[in-house]
Amino acid sequence: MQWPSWEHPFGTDELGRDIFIRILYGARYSLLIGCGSVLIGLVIGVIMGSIAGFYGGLVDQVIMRVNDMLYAIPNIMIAVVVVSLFGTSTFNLLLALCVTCATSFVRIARASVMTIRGQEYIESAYAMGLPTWKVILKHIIPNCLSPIIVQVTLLIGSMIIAASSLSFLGIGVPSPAPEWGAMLSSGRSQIRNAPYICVIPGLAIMFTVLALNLLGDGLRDALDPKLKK
Amino acid sequence: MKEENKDLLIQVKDLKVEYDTDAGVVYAVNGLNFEIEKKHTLGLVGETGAGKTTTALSILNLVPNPPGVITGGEVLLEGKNVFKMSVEELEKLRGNEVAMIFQDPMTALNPVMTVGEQIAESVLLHNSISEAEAMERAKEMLKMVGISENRSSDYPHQFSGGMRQRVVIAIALACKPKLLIADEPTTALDVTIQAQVLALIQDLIAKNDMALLLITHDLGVVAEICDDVAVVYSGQIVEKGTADDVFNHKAHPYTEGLFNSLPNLRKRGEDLEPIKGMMPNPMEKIVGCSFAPRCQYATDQCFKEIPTLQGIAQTHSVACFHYDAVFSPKGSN
Repeated sequence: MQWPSWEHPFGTDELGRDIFIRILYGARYSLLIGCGSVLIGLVIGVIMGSIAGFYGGLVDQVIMRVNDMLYAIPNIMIAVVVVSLFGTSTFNLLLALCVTCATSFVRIARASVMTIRGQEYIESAYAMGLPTWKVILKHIIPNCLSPIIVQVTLLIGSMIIAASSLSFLGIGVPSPAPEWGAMLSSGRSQIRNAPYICVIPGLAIMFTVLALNLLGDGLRDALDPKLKK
Repeated sequence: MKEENKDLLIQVKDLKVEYDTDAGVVYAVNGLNFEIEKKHTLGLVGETGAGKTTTALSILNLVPNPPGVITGGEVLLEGKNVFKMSVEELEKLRGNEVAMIFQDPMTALNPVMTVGEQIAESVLLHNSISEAEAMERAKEMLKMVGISENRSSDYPHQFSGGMRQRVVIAIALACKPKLLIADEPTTALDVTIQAQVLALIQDLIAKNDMALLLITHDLGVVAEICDDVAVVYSGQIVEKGTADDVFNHKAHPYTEGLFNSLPNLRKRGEDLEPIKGMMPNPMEKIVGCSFAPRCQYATDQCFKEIPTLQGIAQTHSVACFHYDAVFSPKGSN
């Protein structure tokens, strides 16, 4: 163990590994899991949510009740089940987290589609002679995008935290991999004499999530035509 | 009735539309009949809830279903029944042969598309041309409705209400439809802008040889631009004729009531005379004349039998048993 120095900017851990290099490589895991689970969840969630919101009735009921059931289970529980069924791996972790993402996208997409579909410009798009799929694709979805995009950036942040907490608990990315949560966890025993082992991965997680949240705010402003100059 | 070479564009025959809601069935349109000749303008006048908009949507077969159900009648567009058309035929019809202008220009435009794109979309849909050509066409349309063409890449929120309604008109007319349905096109606008928009519609209709179905509750607007007038009361036409027939020789007690409730220049200082009572609840099936409970001329017959439209002059017909009480034939006054 060495405290941060010019040679090792973030110091080395209990096995003498350079923490700076491990943080850099760890970013791959965090970003892959964060973006991957959100993107898969986004596609599934928006499709299901749009169907539920657009058609309503029985279709809506079925989709939403299934969604409620999944929503009611905490994501750590889902992760524990997935991991105990399929074993610990990055892919399984991603799979477990995308369930959580999909449920929140279903709700957002459904709510926005329901408001947009009653608007007069949708009626007028039909009166123009547009087929239903074009109305959905060109008029409804683009008007639902801004809450969804904001949710994407916020969710990537929370998925990175979720992935780290699962790794911290030992059911995330398997051990030698430099995942930030796992690194934080391994530094616990040394927290009195070498706190930097815990603090540095923690800061890495914090700044990444903060950056993603700021990105979400910026995107929302940039995508709103009313704020364009 | 003038039968000779009647060039009918659209015929609505015995149209019946219901809305099946949780609270019960709403009878919105109950056997409505009218027709529009080519290049003619018909004003459909009536109170809120009389079934005017539902009638308009029926012509495009766009009544929201559920809850709306067209339970009877037919709409013939140049002889073809709109209710029997396939989805593809309907998509060709909408926007291309029959276009519609909606009431509120603030919400009738998609906020995330530029106005140019929205006009071009309609052109592109019904004509096989390139996107660039469609955009050119969109700019021409903007110029036609009095908006500078370099504003085609602006978004709807950058326009005022009156200008947005011009854009809506440009979208509706982009494919040169044969029939334009204007659903209260000026209700949401200031009086000064109203006059401009009406003049614009009138001008474009005349230039492009279109027919117009103008839906409104404003008798002044009807007087200004319509050839023919049909007065709607609780989903039925109670009186129809040329603007002169209806305005100067009104025959139905409801029409009389409508005019009495308007300020009149010749009777300044006098109180206005409102029609007593309320429109009947559209959830109850009507026995007899729907206006009878509010009518000062009503007799027992009115509560038992439904009056049908009968011709009382060459172009003028009325659905009332006691129209004599109101009617003053031409030449008598």
